[in-house]
Amino acid sequence: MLRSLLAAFILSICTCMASAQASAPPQHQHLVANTNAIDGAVNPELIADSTAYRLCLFAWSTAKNPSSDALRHQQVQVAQTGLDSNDQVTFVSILYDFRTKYDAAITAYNDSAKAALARNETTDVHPLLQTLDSLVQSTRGAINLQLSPAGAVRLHSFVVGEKKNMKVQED
Amino acid sequence: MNRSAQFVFGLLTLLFCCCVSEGQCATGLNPHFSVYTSVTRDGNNISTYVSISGYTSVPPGCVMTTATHHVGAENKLNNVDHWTYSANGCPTCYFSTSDSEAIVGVPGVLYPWGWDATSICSAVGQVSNSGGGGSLPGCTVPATETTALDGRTNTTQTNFNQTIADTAGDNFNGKMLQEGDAAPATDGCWWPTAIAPKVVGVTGGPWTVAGNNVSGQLNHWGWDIIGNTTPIIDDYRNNGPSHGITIPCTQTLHQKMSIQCPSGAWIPYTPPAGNTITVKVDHALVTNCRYDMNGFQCDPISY
Repeated sequence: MLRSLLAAFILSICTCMASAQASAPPQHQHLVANTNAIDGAVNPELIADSTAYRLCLFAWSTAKNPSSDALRHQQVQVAQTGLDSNDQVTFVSILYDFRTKYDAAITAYNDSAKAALARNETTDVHPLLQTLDSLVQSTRGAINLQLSPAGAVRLHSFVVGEKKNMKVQED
Repeated sequence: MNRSAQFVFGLLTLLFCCCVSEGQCATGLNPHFSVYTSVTRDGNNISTYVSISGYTSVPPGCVMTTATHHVGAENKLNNVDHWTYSANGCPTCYFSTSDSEAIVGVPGVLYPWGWDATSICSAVGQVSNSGGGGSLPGCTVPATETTALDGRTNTTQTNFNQTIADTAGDNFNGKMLQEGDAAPATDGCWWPTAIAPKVVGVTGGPWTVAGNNVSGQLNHWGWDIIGNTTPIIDDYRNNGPSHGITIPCTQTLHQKMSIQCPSGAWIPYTPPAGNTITVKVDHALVTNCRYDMNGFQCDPISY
């Protein structure tokens, strides 16, 4: 009895392995199933302003307890936007607020995704995407309100110009 | 004994088939990642940045309990390779990571730069990948420019002598500079029959650093000669008011300064608004001013 069970188990493994080999891709194969990839160097107009802002705001902000290298990187990046020194100080404060909320939203989502997985369930990412969009919108509002009018215009122009350095795979 | 064996068999089969089904789920993974790269300079350093952020959609019905995902950003500047990875997380987690590097650029040197951004699943390897790069000219640009008075030309024109610098004290001698218009000029002294043409912009230069009128002066360029000749000033004063010109009148120009890189490309080094140049003609006084990146100099001339 035991022998026949063992044989059946080995047989089922072989069957499963054959099935897996037929369907699973090899390691390091690029599985870019998303066909909506946008190369900003080719079609910058297809990248939404909100996406461009999200990527730039993330790039220019620092995580909690930033290293001296991270702060230097931020200083160089913010200076590159062409904002005057007063606007730069204000903008760094706006970036701090953005990053704090951004990291909190992602941490909360990831915690819920892990908890759902533990229950053999999947999580809907769209509420997070809406939260991030709202965060970008409110941050743009703060930029328009707190920076000088010329600074806000200059920053917007810079962000839009940065689309050429972005590659985006959207829904 | 038979029951125990059946239980063990069932458990092993279940576990194994769960693993395989995750591999099968992985074939339908749909990546939604955004990649952003940038290159910046501060007059001395070349900084490169790569970030990736986003998530992966898992096919409906797939619950991948054992696989983990993470993302990585590669930033290979001047052949020194750096990878920064996010922590491992669940397949449907949202990931962000970035890498920034910086080197001191030497004029005339081309620095290779390569970048890569990838998302990785422990079950199948790469889920998405994007890369690029090129060569970055090690052309540093001035971070500061200061202006000094250096005499006059034709009585009422001022010779301005500039000093450029960066944080590393680079030597810019021999580099070519040119001027352009950061914004349209305004001429409040001109009318259609004036003897001088309307001022519509700067003349262009070019200058060689430590050459021309400032030969041998380390990191100096000039002269930037600003102002009108005496016949033109006389015309503005004598004939302008009868043509609607109010004395004092002012001409304003917005000067964008650029430096030439070894590649031949001209790289602006003044802020987007440029330097501001003003020429004010009053009844017995002419004032020529140059407002640069760091300050200004004015030359009041009694004439």
